[in-house]
Amino acid sequence: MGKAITMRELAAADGQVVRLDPADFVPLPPPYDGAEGRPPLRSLTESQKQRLDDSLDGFTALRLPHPQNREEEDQLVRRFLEGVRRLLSADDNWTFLGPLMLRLDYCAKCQTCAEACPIYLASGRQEIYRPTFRSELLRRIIKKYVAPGGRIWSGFQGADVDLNWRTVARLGELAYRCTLCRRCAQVCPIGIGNALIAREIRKVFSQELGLAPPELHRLGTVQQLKIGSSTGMSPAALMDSIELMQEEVEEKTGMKFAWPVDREGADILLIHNAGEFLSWPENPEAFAIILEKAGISWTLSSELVGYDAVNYGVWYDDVQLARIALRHAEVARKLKVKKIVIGECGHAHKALTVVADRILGGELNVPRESCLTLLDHLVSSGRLRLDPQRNDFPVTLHDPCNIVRLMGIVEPQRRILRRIAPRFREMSPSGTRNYCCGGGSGFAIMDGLNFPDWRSGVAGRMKFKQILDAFAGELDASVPKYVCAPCSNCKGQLRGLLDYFDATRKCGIYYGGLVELIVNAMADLERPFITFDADLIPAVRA
Amino acid sequence: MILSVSQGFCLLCVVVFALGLAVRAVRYSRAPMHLRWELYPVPHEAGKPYGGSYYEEPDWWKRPRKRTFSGDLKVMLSEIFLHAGLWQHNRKMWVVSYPFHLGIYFVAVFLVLLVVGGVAGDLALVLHNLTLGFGLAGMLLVIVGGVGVLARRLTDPDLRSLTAPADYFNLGFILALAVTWFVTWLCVDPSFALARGFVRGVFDAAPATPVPHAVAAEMVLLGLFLVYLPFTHMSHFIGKWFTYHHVRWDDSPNLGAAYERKVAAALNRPVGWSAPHISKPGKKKTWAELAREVE
Ligand code: SF4
Ligand code: SF4
Repeated sequence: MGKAITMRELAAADGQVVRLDPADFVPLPPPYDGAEGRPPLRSLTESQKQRLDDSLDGFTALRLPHPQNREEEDQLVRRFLEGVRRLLSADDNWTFLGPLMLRLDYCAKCQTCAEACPIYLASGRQEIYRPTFRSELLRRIIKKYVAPGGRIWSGFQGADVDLNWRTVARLGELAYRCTLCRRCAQVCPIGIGNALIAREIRKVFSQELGLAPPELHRLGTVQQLKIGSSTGMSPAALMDSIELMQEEVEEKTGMKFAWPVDREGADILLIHNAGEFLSWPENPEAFAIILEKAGISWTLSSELVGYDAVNYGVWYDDVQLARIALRHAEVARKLKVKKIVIGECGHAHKALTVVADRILGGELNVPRESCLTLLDHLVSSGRLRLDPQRNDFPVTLHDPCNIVRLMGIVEPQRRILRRIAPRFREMSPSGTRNYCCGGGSGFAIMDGLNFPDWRSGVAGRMKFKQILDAFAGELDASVPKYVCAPCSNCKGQLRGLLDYFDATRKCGIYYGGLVELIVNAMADLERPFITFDADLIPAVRA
Repeated sequence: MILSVSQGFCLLCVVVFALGLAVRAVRYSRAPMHLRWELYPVPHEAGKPYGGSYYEEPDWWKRPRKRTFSGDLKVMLSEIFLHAGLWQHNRKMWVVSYPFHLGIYFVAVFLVLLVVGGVAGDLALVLHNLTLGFGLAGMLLVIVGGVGVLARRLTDPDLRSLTAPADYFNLGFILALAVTWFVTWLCVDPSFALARGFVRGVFDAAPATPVPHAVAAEMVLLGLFLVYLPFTHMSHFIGKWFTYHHVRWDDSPNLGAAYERKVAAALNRPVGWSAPHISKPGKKKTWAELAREVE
């Protein structure tokens, strides 16, 4: 059971508020029921601690430097409050004002949401990770410091929180202890949930104070808009990478064909998460093979932003979200394609199809479709010759929150797996009730300092438990098992998670996308497309 | 129509109550169009009880949307009348919260019947019995459920940690109201005839007839509660409509001229955020201008 802590204490505490102890974490099934299931969490070094504020729980996502003097402290508080006021303005926050007002006005404090939150549960019910903790903190700050007459009523309303730079810094960090998975919202009897508030807090930090995790902002959206991709890949590097992938396809399958790039008038513009080109090239390769075999008219783009579907703005900043969504749409418009198909990337699905839907007007409102829908159509229409026996190994499916709970794409990927993977089994719970992989809302790419330990040790723990449960009885390392995760960020998180628990070597658990399984089932390919070799798995932590 | 002070006060309270709720509803419904934030399952998606959406269909924008109002209705009714979500996800809370809310529904029906009786004058026996039944059952359920909710809030550390004094006050207020009405019924007004007479006096041309202090007190307390309610989260019965229909189930895609106009208007709003990647010296830019910049 986590330490009971009040908001007053959170604001007042000198030094670190909570010290996580892996012994408190939710237990894992064998073979992780001992020390292997509780790897120690690294602390920041002394010099890092001197520079950066890690006083919430010993981790830092925002990497906020300690204010140097009273004036800097006051300025942080002043600007934070200014940002909170903007959240309540119809001009500055038309994007989410309505849903925010409802969340600020109506929480019954029934705590139903707590039992649904993978982070709260995995951490052994740490009070600070309770879904309502950060929401209530913001609510109380607004009640006391922003609402008219707030200070008079603050005691009655429970708004006993003191706003100082520590409260602000810790609230900022708390906004990055939620993966925005919205599992809590599903069970909320009022229909509100807590993710939106976490994201609104992130917006105050980014849009007003200019503070965001560097992986999301400086190396993320800013780099994507300037260089073309959040991976740092330029259009020229993309072309090199495509050339390499073409060669690899030929080597693996004997299929020699030029990938269409910037082909005007193609039916489909396929946009991948550019991380696939660098980390999992077999994924775009599999897409190319499928589309080519199915005779689809498609193209990739080599325009800035047009070859990277990611939109990190959806996690922390509405202006950046709008900028990137507009670029994606503009690229599609110029190529005169009939539709954009988004590759296996969950947040890109949600950002471009759902969240940015009410930003794109006129000819920029190019139709957008999920690759899972297209693949389901291709597989069920019989255009591909598939032999399920080629996938004769245990397979389970991870449901990316953004595609499933937040977009309602549930069955297409299952229909495919039921056809091509005879040993497919669901995780429990699954579908719209799934657990987040723990890498949601940007965590999967936030590799700085000791944050990955928190991400794998806490945020991904429920997912790891689900995976072990799904393969119970078959955890022998000699039986290769496949976690199908049709999302680049989820794959990034699974890569770290399996490495953190050394689960590939210990239990023979591998991960990959859906298209790789489809190609692996292709009856006319001589060699398997998927290879299982623990020695080939890069050691991420090293 | 000559009203006593307490009758006049109660009438005023009802007016403030109605206005307060209306202001809330208008405030939410006039909030600017927001970006989509739906959550599945969305029950009006026809034929997809597992939580699927129209995005599962190839070329979804070319197909007519298959919506079923009955899906929404089923969830709404089971939420309103059974608190099905709480039953499913928080049984411990449901056990106390459901009787409490059911009691409030009964009391609401009772109050309506009281007004109907007051306006109609002589009562048919069935109306009389219904008033009595709903009133007593409602008050008892509110008291039992309310004590249960209070006990859980006080004893369960998970609930206690974030409960504010105002939450205890609200519960206490409702309990005090229910107990006052119950005791008045028991000791002074066993058929609610006096309460009905009080209500009738509001609509009658006749001069106000004095009622026992206990009846006036229960009425004034009720009036005070009605004035207070719209300004608290107890008005969640209004909010819940918006959280479900305007956010959680709002999956309407941006297709058609009406949306085009709304999008254009929204993008024309000025942006005041002052982070360096947004704000530059000079005139405030609109969302549309900012979105076209590369930062
Ligand atoms: S379930 Fe909803 S109403 Fe209950 S505490 Fe959580 S956010 Fe508040
Ligand atoms: S959105 Fe997910 S991680 Fe965040 S509070 Fe809710 S359940 Fe927890």
